[in-house]
Amino acid sequence: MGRDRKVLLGTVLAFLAAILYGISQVIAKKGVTEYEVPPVVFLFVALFFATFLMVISGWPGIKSIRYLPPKKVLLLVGAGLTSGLSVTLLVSALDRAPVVVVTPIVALNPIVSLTLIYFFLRRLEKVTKRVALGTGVALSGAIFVIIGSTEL
Amino acid sequence: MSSGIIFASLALCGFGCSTFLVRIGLIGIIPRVAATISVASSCLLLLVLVAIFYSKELVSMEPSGFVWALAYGIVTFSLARVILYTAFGLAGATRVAPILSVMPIFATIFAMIILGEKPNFFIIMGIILSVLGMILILGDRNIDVE
Repeated sequence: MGRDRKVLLGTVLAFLAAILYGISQVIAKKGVTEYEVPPVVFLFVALFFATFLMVISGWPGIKSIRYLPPKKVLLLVGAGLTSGLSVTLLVSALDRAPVVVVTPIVALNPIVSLTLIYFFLRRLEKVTKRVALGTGVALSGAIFVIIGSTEL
Repeated sequence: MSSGIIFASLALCGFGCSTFLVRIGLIGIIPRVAATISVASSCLLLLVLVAIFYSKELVSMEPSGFVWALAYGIVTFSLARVILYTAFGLAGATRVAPILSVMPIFATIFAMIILGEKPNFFIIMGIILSVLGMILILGDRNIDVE
């Protein structure tokens, strides 16, 4: 596959992921608030079921984990732990504030990742001035959402 | 409300760090395998928290709440995370991560339809600005991905 095609496919998949994450916020809000399930319990059930499903459906590939470099596995475990903690905070936030307030704030996480990439991953990816400007505009959007949330 | 905003801000820092770690960890690894390692690690963390603080709540969980949790697991972890990691591998975190800024649009639409929430002028303006920022980033053809 050519580089342009790879980037295009990656972009389309990222949009699809964004739609799914959008739907998931509403599912979490409904499950946690309407059925009064503690966020941590709700997430544990979700993660347990998802892990089971992913291990079963991807078994031949999963077996290859033992051949992976330990450093890579540790990085992915670290990503899973930070993500697990973050998703717990996210669902707890949804338990306390409307979806229309929480989601735009959390959607600004690229600011953190791009800052880290800029300082530590320059050999892999380049953060241009335009990316920095776009990130700044998106950040101002979050400030609007926070101001707007005080009126809800 | 303010505690919700604080939790959401902490979550945004955590997700940002997670994306950074995934970007390094994904090199040379099948995205689906990487997503499984990541989801299983998140599950272990939550298992510890539930075992210590919420074992009674887990046992007394209503079946309907259980169904919503299963739905959340399938949509967020089994589908969205695998798709996202594949996207990271193909197009790089610099391009993919900002695309997730469109998430509030879909979340708002679904929240209006399903939950009956009504965003005000400031919130709509904020979402529009987030999308504008994303368009600026997506329009940049100078992003290099190794």
